[in-house]
Amino acid sequence: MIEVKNLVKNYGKYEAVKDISFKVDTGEVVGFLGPNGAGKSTTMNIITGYISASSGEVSIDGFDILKNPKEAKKRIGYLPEIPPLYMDMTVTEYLNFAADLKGVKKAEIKPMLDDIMEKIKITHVSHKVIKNLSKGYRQRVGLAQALVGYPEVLILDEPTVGLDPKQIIEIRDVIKELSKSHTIILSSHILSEVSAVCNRVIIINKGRLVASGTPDRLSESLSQDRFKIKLKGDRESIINAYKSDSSFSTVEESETTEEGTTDLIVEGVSGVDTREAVFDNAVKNGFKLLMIKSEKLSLEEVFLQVTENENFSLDDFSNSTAQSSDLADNNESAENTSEAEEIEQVIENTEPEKDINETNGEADEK
Amino acid sequence: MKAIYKREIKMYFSSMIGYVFIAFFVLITAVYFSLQNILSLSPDFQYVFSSVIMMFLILAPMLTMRLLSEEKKQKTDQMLLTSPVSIPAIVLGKYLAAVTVFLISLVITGIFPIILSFFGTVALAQILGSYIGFFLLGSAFIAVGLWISSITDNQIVSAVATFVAVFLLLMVETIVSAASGSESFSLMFAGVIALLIALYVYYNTKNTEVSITVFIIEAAVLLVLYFVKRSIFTGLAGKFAMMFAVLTRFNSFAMGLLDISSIVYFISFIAVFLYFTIRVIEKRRWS
Repeated sequence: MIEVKNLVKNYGKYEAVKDISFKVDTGEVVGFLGPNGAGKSTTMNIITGYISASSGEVSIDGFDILKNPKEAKKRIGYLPEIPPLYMDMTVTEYLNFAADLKGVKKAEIKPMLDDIMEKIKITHVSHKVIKNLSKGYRQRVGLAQALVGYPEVLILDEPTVGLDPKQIIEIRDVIKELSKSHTIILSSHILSEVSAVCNRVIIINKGRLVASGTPDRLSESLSQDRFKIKLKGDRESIINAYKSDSSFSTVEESETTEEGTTDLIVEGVSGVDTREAVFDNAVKNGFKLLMIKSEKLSLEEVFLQVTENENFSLDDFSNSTAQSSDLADNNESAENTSEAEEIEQVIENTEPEKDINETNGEADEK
Repeated sequence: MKAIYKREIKMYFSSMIGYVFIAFFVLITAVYFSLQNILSLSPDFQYVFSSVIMMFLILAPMLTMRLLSEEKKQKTDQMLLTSPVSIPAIVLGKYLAAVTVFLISLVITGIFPIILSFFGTVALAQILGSYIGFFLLGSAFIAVGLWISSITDNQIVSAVATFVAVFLLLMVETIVSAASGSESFSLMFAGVIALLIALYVYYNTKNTEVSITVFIIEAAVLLVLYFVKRSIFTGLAGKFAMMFAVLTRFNSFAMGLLDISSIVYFISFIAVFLYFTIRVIEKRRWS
C-alpha cells in the first residue's frame, strides 16, 4: 500500500532523514517511534507530499507522490502535528471546504460529513467556530478533516500530543475504531499508545530506521530470560540458596517492598526453564514462593535501549535476538531499565483507568 | 481551484476586510467624484481614476497581505498542499478571489458615470477605457501583492513590502526621468544586474567557483560591449526600468485607446508574478 524507498532529506547540510525504506501493507497500523527531531514528521511530510525528498521514492497504492501527486494524494488523509484548521470557520464550513478541496461529489458531501462527525463524535459542536473549541475538539476536527473523502490511508502525526489523559484515551479509541477499515501510520513518542494501537512499530532515531517489528517481538527479542520473584523466609538463607543454585546465571537482590519477604531478580542459564528452577529451589529449601513475574522489557525500555545506544543498528538488533549479547551490553541494558521504569511510572501516573472513558465527552464541551 | 476560490471569497466577506475594502474604495472614489465632477461641473469621470490610483498603496496590501502568509503561519498550507489540488490551482484560486473583490467595488463605482450621464455628455470610450485600464492595473498590483505574501509568513511584513512595491511601480517614470541616462551609469546598472545573476546562480548551486566564473564572463562581455559598441548602453537602465512602468500603460487606456499591446502587457505582467508565486511555494517544498 505504502512503499518508501531510500528516502533522504537534507536541510542544507543537515540530514534530517538518512536513507529510510519500509513498506506498509493494506490494513496495517504502523507506529512511528522516535525521540524529538528524529525525522518522524519530516518522513510523514514527505509521504503526504507536503515537502519533497532530496532523493528516494514514495508510492501510495502504486502511485508515485511526485510523478502522480493527484492520484496519490487522493488516497491519503493527513493530520499534521498542528491540525491545519481555519480558526474563523465553523466546523461544518471547514469540513465542507475540506470536501470541496478533495473533490468529493456534491451529493455525497452531506451524508459523508454527517457520518464522519458521528464517528469522531463532533456532531454536537458542528455549528461552533473552531477557535472557540478546546484543544481536544480541535484535534478531532483535524482528524475529521483527514477522514473526508474516505481515503484508504491515514497518516497521523502525533495525534494525541498536548491532550489531557482523558482526551488521549478518547482519540486513541477513535483511532482503534478507524484501524478496522484503514491503513494507518501514526507517530508518537508515547510508547504505551503505540503498543496499544499499532500492530507494527518502526523506531526512528537521528533520521535512521533502527528497529522494526511487532511491539511484542521487539520487547521479546531484546529481553533476556529474566524473572522477578518474591519469597517468604529467612533473607540470608534465601539469597544463599539461590546464589548457589547452578540453574541461575545471575541472582540480584531487589528492593523489598513487603516485610518478611525477599525480592530477587533471577536470570536462568540457557536450556533450563527458569520458572521451574525457581519453584524447585523454593520447595527444596522450604521457602514460600509468593510471586514470579517476567521482567520482559517494555516498549519504553526497548525504545531507550535502541535510541540511546549510539552504535545501534538493525544488524545489532537481529543479533541480539540470539541472546548472545555480551556482558557490557547487559550492564547497559540494566542501566536503561531503571531509567525506563521511571518513565513508565510517570506515564502510568498520568493515565487514568479506562473506566473514566465511560463519562467522557462532557468536560470537553465546556 | 473552485474550493479555494469559494473559501477566499467567503473569508473576505465573513471577516471585515471585504466590506472595509469596498467601502474605502467607493468612499475615496466618491470624494474625488464630488470634487472633480460635481463641484467643478465636469463630466470627465476618467480623471477620477487617475487621482484614485495612489489609493492602491493601501488597497493592494489590504487584499493580499494575508492570502498566503496566513496559511503558512497557521500551518493550514499543509492541508492545501497535501490535498489533490495543484499549486497553480491554489495560487490561481486565491488570486481570482482577490480580483473578484476588487471587481465588485469597481462595478459599484459604475454608478458615478451613470449619474453624470443624466446631467451631461460623458465620454463613453474614455470612461470604459479607464475602467478596463484601472481593472488591469489593480489586478497587476494584486498579483505583486500575492507574490509578496507568498514570501513571508508575517502579514505586517507582507503589507509593508507590498506598499513599497506598489510605490516603486507607481514611481518608475519619475525615477527614470530623474536618473542619469549616461552610458557609464547604464554600465554600472548592467554590472549590478550581472552581480545579481551571479548571486542567483550561487543561491541555487551553492558553488562559489561556478558563480565567480559566471560573474567574470558577464563582466567581460559587458566591458567588451562597452568599448566596442557603446551606443547599446544609451539609456539602457531607463529602458529596463520602463518595463515596469505600469502607469504609462494605464494612461493609454485613460485616453480611450484600447491598446492590444497594453492589454497583453498587463496580462503577461500578472502571469509572471503568478508564476513567481508558484515557484516560491514549490521552492519551499524542496529546500
